[in-house]
Amino acid sequence: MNAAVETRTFGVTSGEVAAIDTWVAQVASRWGESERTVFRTRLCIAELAGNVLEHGAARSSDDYIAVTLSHLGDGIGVEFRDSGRPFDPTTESAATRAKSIESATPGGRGLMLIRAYAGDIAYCNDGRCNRITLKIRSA
Amino acid sequence: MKVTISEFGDVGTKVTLVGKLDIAGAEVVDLPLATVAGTRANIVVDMMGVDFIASIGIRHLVMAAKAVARGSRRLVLLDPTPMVTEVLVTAGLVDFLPIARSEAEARTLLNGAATA
Repeated sequence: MNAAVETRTFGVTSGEVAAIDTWVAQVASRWGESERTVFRTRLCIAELAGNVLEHGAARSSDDYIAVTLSHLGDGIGVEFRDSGRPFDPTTESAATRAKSIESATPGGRGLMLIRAYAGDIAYCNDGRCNRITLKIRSA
Repeated sequence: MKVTISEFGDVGTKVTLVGKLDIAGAEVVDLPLATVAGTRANIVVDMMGVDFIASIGIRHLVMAAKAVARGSRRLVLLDPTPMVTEVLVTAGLVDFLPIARSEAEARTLLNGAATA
């Protein structure tokens, strides 16, 4: 049986990022995935989308985020494409665990969470867009 | 995201959050949480109504905790959901953003810090 696949394209605004989350939750829930798997999928995609919104450099109305979800036998496959600046989550540095509140850095935990919750993370940029793929295993 | 600020007995200020602490929720939380943190009082962040958290929401909690720590006060998280708790643990925060499962436990944790 072929995996169920759904794709949707969004703009790059905070409202569109919220719409991505709503859509991901609806699709993953409809596929019967557990609340934990849905949550982890939402979180990884929210981190990627938030990164585009915050660090994607100058934006125009042509900029986009395209998300494809695939219902696999043992989880959810994610393809995340965006027109922002190149960003490779497989090589960027994540925050390190702090020993105290004084030494804790406020940011940098998005990558830490993605790497904890997702597997098979891959990245490429063909000069036109970033393409990140990852997999959330059913939990 | 809805934010409500109230007194937490005589030990600090309670900030109650309801909704998603995502990029849009973080925009709503930013100013009120920073304002409360600026008073250097102990803070209890009631997380019971937070059904989603992303790293940008964590960032605001850490910034507030760092601000109150400069005045030898603490920020305690009150009863986050299991999924939100898992995110906080995975992000390595619970050693310095302690979680209380009841208001009584939050008071006990805050009594270890200076009172407001």
